[in-house]
Amino acid sequence: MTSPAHRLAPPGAANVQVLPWAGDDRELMALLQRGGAAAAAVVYDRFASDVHRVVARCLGPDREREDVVHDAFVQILRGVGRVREPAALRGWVMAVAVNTARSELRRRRLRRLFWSSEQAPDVEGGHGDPEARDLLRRIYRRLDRLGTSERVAFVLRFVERHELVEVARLMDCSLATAKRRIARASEQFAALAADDPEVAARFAKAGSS
Amino acid sequence: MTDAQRIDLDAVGELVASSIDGRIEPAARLAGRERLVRAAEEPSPRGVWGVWIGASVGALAVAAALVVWWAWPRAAAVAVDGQVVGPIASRPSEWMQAPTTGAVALPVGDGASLSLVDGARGRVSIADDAQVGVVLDAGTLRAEVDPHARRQVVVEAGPHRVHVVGTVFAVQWSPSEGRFEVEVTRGKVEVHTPTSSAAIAVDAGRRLVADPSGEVKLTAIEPTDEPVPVPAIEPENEPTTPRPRAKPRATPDPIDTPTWEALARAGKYAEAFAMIEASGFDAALGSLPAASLEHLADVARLAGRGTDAQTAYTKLRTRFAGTATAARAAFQLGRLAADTSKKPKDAVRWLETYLAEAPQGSFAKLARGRLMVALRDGGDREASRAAARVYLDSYPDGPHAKIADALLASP
Repeated sequence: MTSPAHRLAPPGAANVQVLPWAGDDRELMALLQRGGAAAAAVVYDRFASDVHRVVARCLGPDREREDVVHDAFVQILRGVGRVREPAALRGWVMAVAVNTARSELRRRRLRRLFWSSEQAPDVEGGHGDPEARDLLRRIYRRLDRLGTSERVAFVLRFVERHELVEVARLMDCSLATAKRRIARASEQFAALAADDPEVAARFAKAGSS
Repeated sequence: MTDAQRIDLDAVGELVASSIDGRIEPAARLAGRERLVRAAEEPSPRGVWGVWIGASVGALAVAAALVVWWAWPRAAAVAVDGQVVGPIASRPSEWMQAPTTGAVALPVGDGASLSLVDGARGRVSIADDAQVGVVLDAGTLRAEVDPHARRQVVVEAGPHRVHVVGTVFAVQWSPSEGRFEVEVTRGKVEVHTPTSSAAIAVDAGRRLVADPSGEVKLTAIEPTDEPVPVPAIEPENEPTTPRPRAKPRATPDPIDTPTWEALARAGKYAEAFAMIEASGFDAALGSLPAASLEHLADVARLAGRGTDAQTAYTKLRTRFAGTATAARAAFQLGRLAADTSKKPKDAVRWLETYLAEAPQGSFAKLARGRLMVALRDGGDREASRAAARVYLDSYPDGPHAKIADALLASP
């Protein structure tokens, strides 16, 4: 028997043991292609943590992330019929999540262009450590100033730790384009970080000063 | 040296990754899941053009269907076990329906026996070397699955899904009422239901019922030696005289060998607790498994043995710390502190402990209401008013709503 992954009791449930999704991706694909509420529930159970993580890291942990995660899942349910190989399901889901986050970043950027008074959503997440929270806020303020594609490439490479080939696949671009975006993002972020004494001090490489 | 060479980007990424790790709060997970399920149940929105295109395509399809219907040989009835039961779906050859009284076996091959009974409708959606999938359209499906069979068996009924581990069970689905029920006679099944973030395990002797409001309940099918957890009891319904918590046995216990569990099932809590004492209360505290110890503590509470109940719930918390049972024990300790010991500050402490350990637990609504009252009784007026606001935000029609209103209305 599978060990419990969560101990979340649904309303009114007593003595409920909650288990992770037990089927494989083949079974999941068959269910998804039939659609309906059960498919929605299962795909959420299976991928919620992954989608939530990549969306939150791309956007920064702001208040609208739940809406973006929801949008990503709606896109996943609509497009899953196009996936043919069960083994490709997870990669495809993550690409949809990245693309949804990227669209949201573009939309925000455009909104800020037209309504210059609008600020990027404030960072509210992070762990209890106030210093880490402050650094996180500073990092995302700098990421807000990168181009959308550069920002997403930066997150996929340095935060999600993907190989270059995987970054290219998730962003649906060539390997050369992915490399260019990462290089540009690295230069721009480092230049912006260097202007912030606290970020520069915290992340300075040994022997670089 | 460039800026990029001076800044450790991997360390930046590490800080972000450790701060945003993908963990989702249980309440947010549940809310996200429900939102997606609701979205999946709604028809996809279409614009004005979509409506016109849809209407045009629909008109063409109707015309084509009429032509086909006129030209096609009449073969809409379905033969099931030699009985004609009539057309029930657009692809009748895939669907089966049991006679009004009787059963029909679904053709799923070796290792599993699945039958539709008493007018139930369903079909086999997939049956290959790896898996068997059955869709139950309406009615009752009975199943017996060999636990050693290589194939996985999954039964879908509306938005619910039963993953079979190897067992004897029955699934009942009423699409008109939205009521879903699984009874497990032997073995175990896992039920995926939209209001739970992951599967719910249902063991032998248990029944899971999901109603359209999203409430999911586990109860005993027949009284067994394994106790049934006490369900949440609304304050206005809290029993002044204890009630039996399960159906009486089909065959009563022999008069000369009653067990304390059987007496408790019959609502004879004082007698049940006397029997526990006679056979060693302290020994039972140290040896019983979690569910039985919780049952024993409930019996003590319902028998009016407050101090003994307190001892048993406290033992539950020390022996099974960190479990859902221990969290429920905290709620019961809060209830005893408020009602029996008349110590509202102790009640506040225990109720806050319960809410911290099981914010979505089955007693959460009651605990929030009781916390508000205990704060008021303990003289912490500001905190009780704040608790009243929280309560009304979460449960505007809850059983403590009138008390909360009164607290906020008083000067």
